[in-house]
Amino acid sequence: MKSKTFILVLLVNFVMAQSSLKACGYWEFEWEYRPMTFQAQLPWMQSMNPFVYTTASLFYNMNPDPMGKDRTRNISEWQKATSKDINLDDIYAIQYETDPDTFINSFENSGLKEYQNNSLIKYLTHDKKHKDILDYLVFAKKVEYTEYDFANLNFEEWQDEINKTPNNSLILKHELLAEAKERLKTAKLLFLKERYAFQVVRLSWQVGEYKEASEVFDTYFKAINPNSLMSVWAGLFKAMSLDRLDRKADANLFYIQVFENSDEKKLRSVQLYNYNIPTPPTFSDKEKSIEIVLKSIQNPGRALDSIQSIHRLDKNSKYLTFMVMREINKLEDWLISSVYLKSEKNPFSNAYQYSWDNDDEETSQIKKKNLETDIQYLQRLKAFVIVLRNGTQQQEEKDYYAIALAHLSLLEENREDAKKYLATISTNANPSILLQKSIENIWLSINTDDITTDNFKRNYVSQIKKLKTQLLTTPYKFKNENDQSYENYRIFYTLDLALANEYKKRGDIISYCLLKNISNKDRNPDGSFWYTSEPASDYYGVMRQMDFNASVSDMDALIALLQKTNKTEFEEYICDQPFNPIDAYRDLKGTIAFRNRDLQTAYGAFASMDQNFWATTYYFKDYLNEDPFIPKNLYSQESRDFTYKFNKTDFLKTLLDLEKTAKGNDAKKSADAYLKLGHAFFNTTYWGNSWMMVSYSWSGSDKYYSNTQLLDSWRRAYMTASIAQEYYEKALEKSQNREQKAYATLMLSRTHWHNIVLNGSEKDKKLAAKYSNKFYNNYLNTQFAKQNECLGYEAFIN
Amino acid sequence: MKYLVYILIITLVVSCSSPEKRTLDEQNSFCYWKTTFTFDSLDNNVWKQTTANHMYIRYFDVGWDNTSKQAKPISTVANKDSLPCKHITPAIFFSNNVFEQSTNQQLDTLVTRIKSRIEQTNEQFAIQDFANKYSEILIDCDWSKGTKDKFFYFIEKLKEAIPNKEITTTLRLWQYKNPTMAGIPPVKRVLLMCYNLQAANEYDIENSIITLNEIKKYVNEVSYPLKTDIALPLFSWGVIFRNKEFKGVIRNATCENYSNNKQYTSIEENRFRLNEEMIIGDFFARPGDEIRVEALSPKELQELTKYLLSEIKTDKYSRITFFAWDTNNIPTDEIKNIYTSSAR
Repeated sequence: MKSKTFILVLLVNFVMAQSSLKACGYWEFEWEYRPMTFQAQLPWMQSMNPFVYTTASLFYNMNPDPMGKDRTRNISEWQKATSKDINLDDIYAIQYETDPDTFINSFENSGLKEYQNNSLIKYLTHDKKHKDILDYLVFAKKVEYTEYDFANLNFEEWQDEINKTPNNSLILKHELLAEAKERLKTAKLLFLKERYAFQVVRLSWQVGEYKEASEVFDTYFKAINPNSLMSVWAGLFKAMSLDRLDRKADANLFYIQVFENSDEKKLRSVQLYNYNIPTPPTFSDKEKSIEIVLKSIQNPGRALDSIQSIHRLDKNSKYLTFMVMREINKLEDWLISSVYLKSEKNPFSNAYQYSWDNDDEETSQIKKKNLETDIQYLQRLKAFVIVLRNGTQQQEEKDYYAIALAHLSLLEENREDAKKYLATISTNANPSILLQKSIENIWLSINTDDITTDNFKRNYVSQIKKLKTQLLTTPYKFKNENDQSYENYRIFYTLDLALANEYKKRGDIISYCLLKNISNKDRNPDGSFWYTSEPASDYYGVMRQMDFNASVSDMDALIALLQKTNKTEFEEYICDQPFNPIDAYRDLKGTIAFRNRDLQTAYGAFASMDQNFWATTYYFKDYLNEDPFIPKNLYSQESRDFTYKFNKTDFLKTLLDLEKTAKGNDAKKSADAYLKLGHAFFNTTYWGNSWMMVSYSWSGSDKYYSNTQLLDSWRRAYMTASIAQEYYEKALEKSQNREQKAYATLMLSRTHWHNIVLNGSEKDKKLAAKYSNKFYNNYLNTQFAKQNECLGYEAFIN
Repeated sequence: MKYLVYILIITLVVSCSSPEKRTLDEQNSFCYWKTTFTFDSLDNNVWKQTTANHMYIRYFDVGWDNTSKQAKPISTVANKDSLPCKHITPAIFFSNNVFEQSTNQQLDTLVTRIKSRIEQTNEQFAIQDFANKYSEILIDCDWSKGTKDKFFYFIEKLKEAIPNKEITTTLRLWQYKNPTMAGIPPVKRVLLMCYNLQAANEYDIENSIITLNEIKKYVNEVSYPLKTDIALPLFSWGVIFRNKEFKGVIRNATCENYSNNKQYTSIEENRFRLNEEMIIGDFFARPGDEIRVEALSPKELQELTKYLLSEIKTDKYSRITFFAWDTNNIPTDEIKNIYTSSAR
C-alpha cells in the first residue's frame, strides 16, 4: 500500500545550510546566497576579511589573517636575527608546520637530527654561538605544546587525552612562566629579550597574573611599537590583563593599537573591545577614528554617518576604503537581492491558505519607499566617495574610489556615470581593481547591449570565461585556505542570474531557464545540491525551471537545442549542466500541453517517445499505476488495483477518441464518453489516482493551497477538478438513462465536495448538496447506486 | 525438592522481566538546556508552582572534529546552583555527523569516553549528588536512515558499558511515523520530541514549531512499539521575512514584544510588519519586513497535550517534559494542569 503522502522534496532554491546549535530543536540558519559582485580590495584589506559585510552572522569568518602577514613579519624577524641565508620557508616550516611534541622529542633524543635539512635548524645547531636562539625556539615549542588548538575552540577534550586538558596545561604553564622570567633576565639579544618578554606577558595572563602581565609589558616594551611584532602581540595580552584589572579605558587604547598594528589580532581586538564605556578624552583623533571603525564594522545597517565621522577625525584613515566597500555590499543586498532572488517556490504556493497578499497597496508603497530611501542613501554615499576620491593623493585609492563609483552608478542604473568612472581607472591599477573593472564591464554590457545578438553572446561567454580564469587563480586564494573563495562563485552566479532575468524579460524562456540552472550551479561550486537538497529528485531538479516557466513551443526550442550538434559557444555555455534524456523533455512538453488541454499536441509528444519510458524513469510507474477511467474516490482503498499498465500515449489517444465520440450524434455514447472524460480529468487532479499526469509531486499539505482564485488556470483546475466537473455536467445533460444520470450526479457531488474540503467554498457547498440530494432522492434504486453505494461511502470517508 | 524447583522458576521469571527502573514520582518534567546550571530563588519558586519533579539536564554535546577526525565533547555543563528535585536524567546530544564519520572502533572508544565524562560531570555536581539522582541516561540524536545502524550499535555498546542505568533515546516525529525506514532503537523507552515540525524558513506556514494539524500527520493512527515519553515545546521565536524570503530568527520573541508598539503593525494574530528601519541583533530590518511569531499559547499547549495523550501509547511511568526551562516562558498554572491531567 502506498503511503498517502508522497513527497518529492522540492525545496526552494535558496538552500539554507542549517546548523543545529543545541540538542533539542533550536535551529539557526545561514543566509548567504545574496547576489554580490563588488569585491575589489586593496592588498591591505585582506586583513579585514572577518569584517566583510555578511547577513549570515556577525563576522564573515573567523580567519583573522588570511594572508599570514603577522607570520610573515615574524619569520622575517627570525631571518634578520639569524642569517639572510636562511630560507624563509624553512623558518615558516619550523614555526608553523612542525608539531611541538615531535620537535621537542627530536631535540631531546637526537639533537634535531631529523631537521638537519632545514636551513634554520642547521644554522642553530651547527654553531654553539647560536645556542641561545635555539634554546628560545625549544622553549617556544614547549609553550606551544600547552596551547589549545584555537581553531577548534568549540571542542573540549576527553579525559583520556588528559595532557591536553586545561588543568594540566595550567601546571605546565606556571613552570614555563618561571623559566621564561629567568631567561628574560639573562637574554642579551634584543630579539630574544622581546620574545621572552612576550612569552612572560602571555603566560602571566594565561595563569591569571594580570598585574604581572601588565607590568612586564611596561618594563620591557613600554608601548606598542609598530616595528616590533612582539610588542604588538604582547600588547594584546596587556589589553586583556587591563580588562581583568577593570581598567577598561586603558584596555581599549591597547585594543585599538593592536588592531591598527596587527593583522592576526584584529578580530580578537574587535571581539574584546569594551564598547559600553565612553571614549576616553585622552584618545587622539586617530584613536577615536579607529574606535568608530571597530563599532561600524559590526553595523549591519546604514553606517555612512559613522564613516563621515571617521573621515572628519582622520582624513587619511586607510579604513575608509574598506568601509566604503561594506556600504556598497549592503546596497547590493538591499537593492538587488529581492530583484535577483525572486522566489523559486512552487507556483502553487501563491494559493497557500495563510498567504498574505504582499502586493496590496500598502505593501507596494512600503517597497517603493524603501527603494527611494536606498537610492537616496546610495546618492549620499556616492557624493561622499567623490569627496574621498578628490581628497586622496594615492593613485591606488583614487582607482579604488573610481571603481566604487562605477559600481554605485550601475546600482542606480546610471550607465553614463558608470562608463565615465570606469574610464578613469589607470591601466596600472591594482589587479583587484582591474578585475572588478572586468566585472563592471560585463554587468554594463548585460544592461546596455542587445543581449539577443550573436555578438553579445560571444562576448559574454568570452568575458565570463576570462573572469573565471582570473578569479579562480588570483589574489583571492588565501594563504591558509585550500578552497577557492566562495565569493568568486557568487560573482558568476550573480552575473548569470542578471543575464537570465534579462532573457526572461525578452521572452527567451529557455535561455532564462538554462542560465538560472547555471547560476544555481555557480552558487554551489562543489556541485552538490544546486537544484534540490534531495538527491532522489535529481530527475525533477534539472527540469524544475522548465516546469515552472516553459510553454510547449519553449520545450520544442529546448529539445532542438539539446539535439543540435554544432552549438555556438553561448549555447555550449548555457548547456554546460546536467540534463535528463531527451525523452524527459518530450514528456514535459506533453505534460504542459495536457495541462493546457491541448490533447493533440500532448499525444504527439508522448507518441514520439520510447514507450517504455514511464516504466523505467522517475516515479511514473509508482504513481501512474491505476486505471485513470475509474474515479479514485469511488472505491475504497482496499479495492484499488495498482497493477494497471499506464501508458501516456494510449491514455491521450483514448481521450482524443472519447472527445470525438462525445461530440457525436449518439447521445448515449456521448454521455458515456463524457463520463469517462470526467473520470480521466478527475483522476488527473490532486484528488485523483493519476495526478502525475499533471504534477511531478504530491503532498498532503498541498490541500492548503486553497486560495485557488490566485492560481493560473491549469493549476486551478488541478486543485478544483473544474474540468472534470465540466465533463460530468455534459454527461448529465446528455445522459439517456438513469444509470448515466446517477453516475454523473454522484461524481458532481463528489467533486464539489472536494472543493469544500479545499476551501469551504459556499458555492461548492450548495452544488454538492444539490447533486447529493438529487442522487439520494432519485437514483438510489439504480444499478449503479446499488453497486457502489457502500463503497462510495467508504471511499468518501477515505 | 519440588519447592526448590518452584523457587527457581519464580526467580527465573522475576529476573527475566527487568523491572522498571523509573519511579512514579518523576513524570512531571522539564529540560534544562543551558551550559551553566544555575537555579536561583526565582527558578525555585517557579519550579514549585509547576509541581515538576524531574529534570533532563544536558550534560554535554558531542560533535565531530574534522581536524582530529574524532568525536569530541562540546560545552559541558558547568555547576553553579543547587538542584530543586530529586530526579534528573543526564542528556547527551550527538550530532548525526558523529555517526556518519565514526568507525565502529571509534564508537567503542566513544562509549568509554561518554561513560567517563558522565562520571566526571557528576563529580562536578558532588554537592548536589547528581550521581545518585538518576536511573537512566537520555541519548539525543536525530539519526538518519544512513546512520541508524551505527547509532544503534553505539546504543547497544553503551547499554553494556552502563548496565545499571537505563538508556533511553529521543525520537523525532519522522522516526515515529516511519519506523521501518528510521529503524527502532534498541531501547525500551523513547522521548518523542513533538516540535519543530516544519522548516521555519518557509513563509507559507502558520507555525513551524508545532500545530495540531501538523502533528496529526505524524501521530494519527500510528502505533509505535516502544514506551514513549512526550516532549513539548515551551519556547518561542520570531521568524523574519523580507518579501516572503527568510531572513533570520529572533529568539524568545513573543507577540507582546510587537503588539501595541508603533514600530510594528499587526497584520495577523502572530504576524507583524515593521514600520521603521532598525537593527535586530545582527540583522538590519527594513519597513515592510515581517516577523512571524511562533509560540504555543497555554490553551494550545493543553489541547496539544490532550491530543497526544489520546494517540500515543504511554504508561504510568511515562513523562511529559517541556523544552526548555526558562522562567520567562513558563505558564505555571497550565503546566501544573497538564501534569495533573496527564497523570495515569
